[in-house]
Amino acid sequence: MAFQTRQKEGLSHNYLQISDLQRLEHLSFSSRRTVEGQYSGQHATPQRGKSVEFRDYRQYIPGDELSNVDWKVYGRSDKLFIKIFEHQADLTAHLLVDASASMAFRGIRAPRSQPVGYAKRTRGGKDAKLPLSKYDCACGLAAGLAFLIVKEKDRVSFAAAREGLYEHLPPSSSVVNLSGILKVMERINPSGEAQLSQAIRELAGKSRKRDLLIVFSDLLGTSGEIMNALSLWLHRGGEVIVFHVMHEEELTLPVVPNGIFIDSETAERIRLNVEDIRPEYDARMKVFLEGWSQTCRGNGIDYVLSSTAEPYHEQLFRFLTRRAASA
Amino acid sequence: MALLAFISLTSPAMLGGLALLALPVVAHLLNRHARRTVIFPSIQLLQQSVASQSWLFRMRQRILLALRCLAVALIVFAFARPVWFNASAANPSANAGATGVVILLDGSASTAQRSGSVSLAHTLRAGANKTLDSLSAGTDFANIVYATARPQALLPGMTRNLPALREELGRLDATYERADLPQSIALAGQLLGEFKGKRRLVILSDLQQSNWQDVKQQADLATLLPPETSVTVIGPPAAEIENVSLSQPRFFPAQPLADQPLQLIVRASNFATREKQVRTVLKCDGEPAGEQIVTLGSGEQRDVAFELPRVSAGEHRVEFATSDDGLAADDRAYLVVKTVERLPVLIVSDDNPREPGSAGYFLIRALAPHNDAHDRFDVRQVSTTRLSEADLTTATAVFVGYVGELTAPAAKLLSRYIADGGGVLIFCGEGPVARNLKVLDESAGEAGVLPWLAGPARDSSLSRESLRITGGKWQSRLLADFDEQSQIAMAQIRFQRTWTVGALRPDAQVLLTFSDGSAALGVRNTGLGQCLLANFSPALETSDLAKYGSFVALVQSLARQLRPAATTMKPALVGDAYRHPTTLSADPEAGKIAVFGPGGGAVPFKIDGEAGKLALQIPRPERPGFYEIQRGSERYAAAINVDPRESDLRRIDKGALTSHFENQGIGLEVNTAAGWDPVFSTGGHPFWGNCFVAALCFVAVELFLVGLWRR
Repeated sequence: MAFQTRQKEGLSHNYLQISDLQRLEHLSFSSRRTVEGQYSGQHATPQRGKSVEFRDYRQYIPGDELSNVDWKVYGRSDKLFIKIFEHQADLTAHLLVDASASMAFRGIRAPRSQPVGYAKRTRGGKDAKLPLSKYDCACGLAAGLAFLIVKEKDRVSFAAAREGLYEHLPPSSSVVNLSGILKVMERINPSGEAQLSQAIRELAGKSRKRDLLIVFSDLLGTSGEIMNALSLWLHRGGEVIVFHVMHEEELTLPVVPNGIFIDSETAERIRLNVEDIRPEYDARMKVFLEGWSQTCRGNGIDYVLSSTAEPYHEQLFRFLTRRAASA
Repeated sequence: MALLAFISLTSPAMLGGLALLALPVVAHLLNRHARRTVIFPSIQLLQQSVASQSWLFRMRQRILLALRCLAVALIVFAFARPVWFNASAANPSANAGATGVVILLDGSASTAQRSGSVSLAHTLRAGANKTLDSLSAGTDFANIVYATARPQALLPGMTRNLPALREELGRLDATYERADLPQSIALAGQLLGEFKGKRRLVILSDLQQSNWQDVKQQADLATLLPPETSVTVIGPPAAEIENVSLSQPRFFPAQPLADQPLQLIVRASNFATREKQVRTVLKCDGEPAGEQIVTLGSGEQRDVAFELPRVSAGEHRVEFATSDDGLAADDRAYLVVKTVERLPVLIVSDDNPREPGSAGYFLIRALAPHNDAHDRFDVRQVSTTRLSEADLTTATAVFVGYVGELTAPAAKLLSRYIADGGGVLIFCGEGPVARNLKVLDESAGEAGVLPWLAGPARDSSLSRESLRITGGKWQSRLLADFDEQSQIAMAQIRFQRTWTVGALRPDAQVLLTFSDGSAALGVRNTGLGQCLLANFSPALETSDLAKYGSFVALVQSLARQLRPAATTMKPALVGDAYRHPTTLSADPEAGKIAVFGPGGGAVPFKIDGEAGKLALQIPRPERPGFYEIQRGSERYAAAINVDPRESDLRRIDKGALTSHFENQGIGLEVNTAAGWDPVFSTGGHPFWGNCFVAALCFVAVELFLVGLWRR
């Protein structure tokens, strides 16, 4: 579906600009797993049968209907193969964005209290850009994916994780819903603890089996609890995609000689000289990221490491390209 | 603590720099102070990182702090100039391993000789510095004796404070004085005697023959130095110094009269190895007064005389100058000439000069009949008890009348006056004449001063034939002015009481004889002067002499002839105490006394009260030239010259010098300043260089570790 200009103008928000829409228009997003759809959508369904969507060949077994034999292939190969078709169904994707205090991190040089948002454009055209927070990055990714999903006439919901499930917009494929999602994103001020596992469980209760869950979080909580919650979703037959959103200064510590670092969520303090611990920190960060990557992939979860250093649309493009190549 | 006993600090005050150790500690503490607060998403990984590294970080920080503190401490320690020595080097008396060195530096005027642009004094000072440099700071002891007219040590005793010695040495320069080398060696020996350890005397001198001759004449040289003192004499490099000097300035007559010719004389000496044309310029009161050129062969000396036709009365400053050469100090000679309107004559008599008939009464009237400026003589009378050297110094002739009882000091003054060139006429009249003459004669020593000792007195007043003076050597210099008429008149004078001659001295001359053939007046040349003895007196009790005009003629004639031919004043030399011949009034109303040197600067002086007068002394004139004494409106000049012995730059034979020392059991080594390298055994090892290297190593290690740990 091509968005009309007027519709695009209505979608111009902090996390989804018109220029972003132009970049995303040619992309498409689809689930890897078969879904149960209520309406006729584009996604595979486990419900087999006649459909317009060819899926695959298999060798003819006596008893198969001869109408399903691909005679062209026979003419070429003198072998009998049966066509298998996909049953088209709609997708429901749930976007869960971590809205804890840790997601508000914009870097050590950014002012501590700043409104959420990428930029505030002035009439003079000069952007007063603020450093991106992890929440901004997450919302940018989520907004882009939401747009792609709505563009395919699939349904998308939005939820924020803050002390559990904080905000939840039920799934919808309308542009109005998308706009609403964007507004909620802008309204939320990340703070407190995420309690991501609890949010996932609560969201699971509000979704159907085989729905797609896309989590945008820094995954700083207890990994076991989070994975348990995600496994629950997987066991229901749904797909999970995890965007591990990290700030560039978390991935590579900036030079801070003799600083006091305060935990954004627990307010714990530690005094250190970054250069003294850099090697150890880098090693541990590597272990942390690889741990999540291996754990997610091992559980069939699509894991994407996202950094605030890279524009979200590039990350999305790379993600979608990779995803399509591996489909 | 035992380790500290082996270390000596040359500059312990530098240890105050250890306060700098606070810097790395403060920096370490400041670095620990957090400068930035950061809100971080999660500090979990940071905590884990710190936890695994904390002990390592603390250890690293402490290691770096220790390295920095050690580097600072070593640098400070190095500036304190530590020296490692053995335990016996704690003090001089127990310092068997250290060396005590006394440097005897010749500061005489001759060391100012120049060869090219460098003076010998500078070369000798460099040698002294070289000697100090060869010593181990903090271990060896040293001092410097500056050899001048009055030798002195630069510091109170043997010291390890070599920098202080160098500083004092830097202030020294050649003086204008003559060095008293034997006294200097004695002082050096006294200093070395305080030191228990290896002793060494290093003498830096120009080896001037005239100075070192005094040392050669020292028979007890070994007693001046402690035993086992090794002596090194460093002489100047071989060089031909051409030197011409002017010395011994004088004038003639000794008591010049105003408006009469005055002869000014200076001795020119050529100490060069070749013939020289010596140009001598005369200045009188700053104005050119003459110039002469004389040719002198090598080693030749000649008096150069200038004659001034008439000179006004008063004090005149005379300067002789020649061209500058290898030694400039002796190229000028200075002289103060005082010309008078009337000749000063002194009458030494204990009688009352106002009492008519006394010897003093008649003598004064014979010499100064008008008692005013028209008189030819300026007569003063002083009693024997108040007689002073100042009285005699300014007198051209001395007449001794009645003496009650001649004291030994007065006798000594008179005999010294005669020996220095003065002329004295003694009248024998009343009183203890024999006793007084004996005291006077004995004061002059074994040779005596009188033409004869007095015999018994005789009274011819009751005899029919009175004694008269009938014979005389009228052609003699002393009586040449006594004309024939005066001689005839003299023969008419009757003498009632006279003295006889005791033992006539072989070198005495009888000038006048009595009618009985006995000596009436005799003369004897003693020293530079002459003593006339009359067996008669002008006092009325003894003769009619004073009634006759021939007495006046005799006295005035003798007064003129008794005048010394040349000045008898000792030349005033640099370094020797100078006593001004003119006494000053003791009246405090006369004004404050001040003395100024040749450069115009004030010089120290001393005042002695003597017979109601003030005698002024300059204890130690340091420069040649004219000194001015001021008292209110009065002005007096004094001329100080360089000792003429400093002009002969010939050096003593080194072999002879070595032999002299060795004969007295003193090992002597003679070297030349050029190329001499002092090598002394040392007892300690300075290791501040090692401290610097160690400090640099610590800094390098610290930098290496910082770079390594950051990687």
